[in-house]
Amino acid sequence: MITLISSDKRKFHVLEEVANQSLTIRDVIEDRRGRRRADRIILVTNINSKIPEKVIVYWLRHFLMPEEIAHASMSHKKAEKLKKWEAKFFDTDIDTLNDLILAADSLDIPSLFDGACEKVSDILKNRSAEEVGEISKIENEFTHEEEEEEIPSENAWVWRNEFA
Amino acid sequence: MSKVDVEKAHPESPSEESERDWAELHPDLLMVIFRKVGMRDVLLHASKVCSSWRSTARDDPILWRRIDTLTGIQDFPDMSKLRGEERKAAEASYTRTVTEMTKIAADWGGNCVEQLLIGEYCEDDLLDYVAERARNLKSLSVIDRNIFRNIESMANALGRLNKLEELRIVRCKIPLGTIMKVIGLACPQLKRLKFIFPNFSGKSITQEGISTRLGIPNTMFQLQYLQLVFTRTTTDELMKILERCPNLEMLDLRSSTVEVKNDDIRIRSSKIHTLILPDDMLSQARDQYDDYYGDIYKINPLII
Repeated sequence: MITLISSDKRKFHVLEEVANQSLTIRDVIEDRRGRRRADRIILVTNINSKIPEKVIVYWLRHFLMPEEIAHASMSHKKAEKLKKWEAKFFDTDIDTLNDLILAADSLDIPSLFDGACEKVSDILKNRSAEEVGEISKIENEFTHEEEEEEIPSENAWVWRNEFA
Repeated sequence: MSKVDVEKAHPESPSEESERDWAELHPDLLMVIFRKVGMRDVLLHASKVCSSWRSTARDDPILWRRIDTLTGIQDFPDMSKLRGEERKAAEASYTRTVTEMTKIAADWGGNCVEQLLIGEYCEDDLLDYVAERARNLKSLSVIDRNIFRNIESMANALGRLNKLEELRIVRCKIPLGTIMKVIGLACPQLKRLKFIFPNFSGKSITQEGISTRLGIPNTMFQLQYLQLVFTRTTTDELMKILERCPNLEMLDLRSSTVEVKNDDIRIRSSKIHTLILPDDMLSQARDQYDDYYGDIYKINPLII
């Protein structure tokens, strides 16, 4: 069992086998193998406090079928189920997705990283700059030169629904 | 990208109220997302969200390694349903935006652009513009019949692309024979060459009489793959082409008019390991339609 401590000092106890899905944590555990018990405490301070929970939920779901994922031998039914589960898992607000991406990146969890990026790109697709700005709460602060830069605007497009 | 700082981190360190700032998302991570989003949405929308997103899109030329003017095509009006003025207006507007977008992508990508797919509806000067900037282009697919309007513009653009390895042309106003000559002169380094000249829309081919036949290219030592789908040629001309392409490994003559036997070709080009003769696919011609076009409407994933 190892212990993860988040930035707000919450503790999360996780089976080593489960946490191993993070390549970063796996390396750390490997480095400290055979040392004191205190060394099985890992601080993940650069990760928002809600995120470890989500990450661990993700780990547990995937931990149940690691062999099958690795060998792509999952049955169709199971694969569908996992897909549904992941869709639900990633169906969250864009801030959480942002944190998940950062966490998956720093903890090195490739599948979580890909999934979160995919979801964000889905959100960005077919949304105007204003909509994206609103969702992500990014302020539009362009310099004068950037404002001048000519990028074609959506007005130039003829959309399907105008002719439907 | 930062790793968790396990050693330095200290449990007593004050827990900061985490400010989630999308504008500050690491450019590398943003790139991953942008790549998934695709050219159209990045250019039209994401690059306009904020300054740092703009600079990720603009200053990371790798993002534009593959430019595909067909991305997002499903969001455009179905031109075939429109008539008259309405269709003209739709086409003009579509053409302008696609051209502008591709030009910006070429500006931002510069020498990192390696693949370019020019779909239908592009302005004539687009290829010239890209060729001027993307000197490392390796693969070019052209579906718009107006892109190669005349021989000079074609020779001009192709001549500048001296890293080009793959060229795929679907439909063209210039007779095939002339194209072959131009390519032989302008791109002797070409490895893969594919023509698809469907007879139902390639009127220029049938009208041009004798000059439509395949010309004889210069020797193309590098050419390994040659596909002449739907093209008209004679056995003599084909044999001459084979002579000039000594290292051919794959020859695809699907649905072309040439009468040729397996043995004739094998004798001439001993290195060929894959040979598709004109009749090979005829019986399943309808099913093969997708096959003719399927790969041309997307960027070749094999070329990296």
